[in-house]
Amino acid sequence: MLRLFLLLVLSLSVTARAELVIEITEGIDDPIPVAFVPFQWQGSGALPLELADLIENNMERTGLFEGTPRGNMLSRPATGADVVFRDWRLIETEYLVIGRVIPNGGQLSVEYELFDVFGQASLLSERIPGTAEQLRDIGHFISDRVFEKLTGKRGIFSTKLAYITVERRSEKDQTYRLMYADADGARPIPIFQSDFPIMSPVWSPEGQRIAYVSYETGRPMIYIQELATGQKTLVADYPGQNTAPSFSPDGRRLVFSNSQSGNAEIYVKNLRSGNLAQITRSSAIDTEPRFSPDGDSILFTSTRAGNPHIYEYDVTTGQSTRMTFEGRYNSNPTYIPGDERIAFVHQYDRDYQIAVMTPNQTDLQVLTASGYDENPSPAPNGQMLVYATSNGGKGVLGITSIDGRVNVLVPSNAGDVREPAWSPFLN
Amino acid sequence: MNQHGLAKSAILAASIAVLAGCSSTMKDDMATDTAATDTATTTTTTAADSSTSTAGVSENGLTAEQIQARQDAAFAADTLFFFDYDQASIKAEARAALQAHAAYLSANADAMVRLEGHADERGTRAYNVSLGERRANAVKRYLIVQGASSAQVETVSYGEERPLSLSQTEEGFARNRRVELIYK
Repeated sequence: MLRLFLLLVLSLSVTARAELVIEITEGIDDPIPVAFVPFQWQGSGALPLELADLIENNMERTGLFEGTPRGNMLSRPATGADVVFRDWRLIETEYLVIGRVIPNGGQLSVEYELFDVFGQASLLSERIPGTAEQLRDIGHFISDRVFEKLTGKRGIFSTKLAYITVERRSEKDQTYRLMYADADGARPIPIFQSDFPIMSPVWSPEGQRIAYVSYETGRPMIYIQELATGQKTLVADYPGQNTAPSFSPDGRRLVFSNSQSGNAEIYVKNLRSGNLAQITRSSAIDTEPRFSPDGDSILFTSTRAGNPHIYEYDVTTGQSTRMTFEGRYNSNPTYIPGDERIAFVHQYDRDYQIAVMTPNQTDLQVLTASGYDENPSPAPNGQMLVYATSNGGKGVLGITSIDGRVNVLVPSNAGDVREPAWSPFLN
Repeated sequence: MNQHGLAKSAILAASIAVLAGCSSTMKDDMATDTAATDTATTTTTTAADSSTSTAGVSENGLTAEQIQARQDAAFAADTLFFFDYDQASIKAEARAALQAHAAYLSANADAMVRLEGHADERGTRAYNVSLGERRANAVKRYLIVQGASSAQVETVSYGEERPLSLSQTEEGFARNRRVELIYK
């Protein structure tokens, strides 16, 4: 595989709060050239955000597109009437994105247009009303629209990430934060903070709640937090360890691991009735359960064969089937939306890597290479996975395309970053 | 209660071994030893203040001197017990110190310990919480087999969340695969 080492540093530092700076470590060898012309601003003063930069960064981060250098541009059209296709053919740009921001009373509206340079055709043209504070959201929206037009796949730029950061002063003196951020890492907000470990955040299917494990009482219990209100509800305080929660696709049940029997087993709790059902019974560790998108099965990690491997529980029959045989350690499984494959952490002999595989097939494919990769969480369009990795001894996030051809590192200056969870589509 | 460091406990290791008796024939794999966990819980009924009595023999048949000796030994003993990669079996070298703790717990029914299980950073986080729990449970079972009451022992696992060493080396990983015994 060709490595590009684009080392693309995004200008996320519009505010001092931005924590994640994105760096493309590996890309495809022939990204599609697209020109993102700076949007014309027709008001006074400066806008808080340059939309063309944001959209260009979003598109480049997928690894599929490469922005045309601004210095190469022969013209800077703001409306369709200004576009001279020859200017863009000459510099071998295949697509063109232009736009302008127009003051509209106290608010503004954004107009943008996407062109096929060689076809000399307008592919997309929209006008979006909003406010200056909403420019970032508008930029992500435009990115979604352009991406979908060019790839046929729904864009994920308006989705969110949840993840954990840890500031460590000593073994027992640490500050954990559950963070909520844009899919590009911008606008990170702590939504829960504790001096005790916080682990395993997962999104509810409608994207309005996050379940996680907190040690605030001295032992691990599972809570569900409403994003809109910040209200937090204790949902699993059973004896033993309550760990690794995951919602059912209807959002009404929570599957998790609990050790009240003296051993970690998988349980499903009905969040309305409070009923608890134990679904695994073995003398081994059973943990890290994940519901399938149709709710018919549950992937989990078990040591029932000695080493950790991936199993699939059939909700109808109650039977569990082993999924992985290759390597000595397979864990942390997840289904991938719109893809028959599963993603998981795979150790063949030494390194822990993110891998994908069709159940019951031998097409296991390793996607990452740092050696300490874990916690794969798929984007809702199934095209990318965010995962936890290690860079210079520090926990950071990585994003890989589902084919492994594009790998993006998301270095952090906020302590250790870990356990990312990609939100569902939110609109 | 104060915890003592490794150096001090090393000095006293010999006396602990004498006190606790030789058990080198114990099975290596305590993780499989569950039979005795609930049957050994009724052996200690003596109140903790029995150790302050100046003469005579306490209910559990120990003299004040013997109880004091057990306390000294337990306080001097290791409180960190290390494990092999992805394993929850107590190592042979951990037994003497664990026996000292079990002897003290057996002599002091009011004494309570918290066992904190830990894993190294390799492998996945939720799995490592379960692995750390297995380690804590293995130590708990051993303490109970050796005379502690299950009510005296609480376990929790932090998985890989609280490493002692941040070094991504075999030495660092080995330091982090541990159970910490903490008197409450």
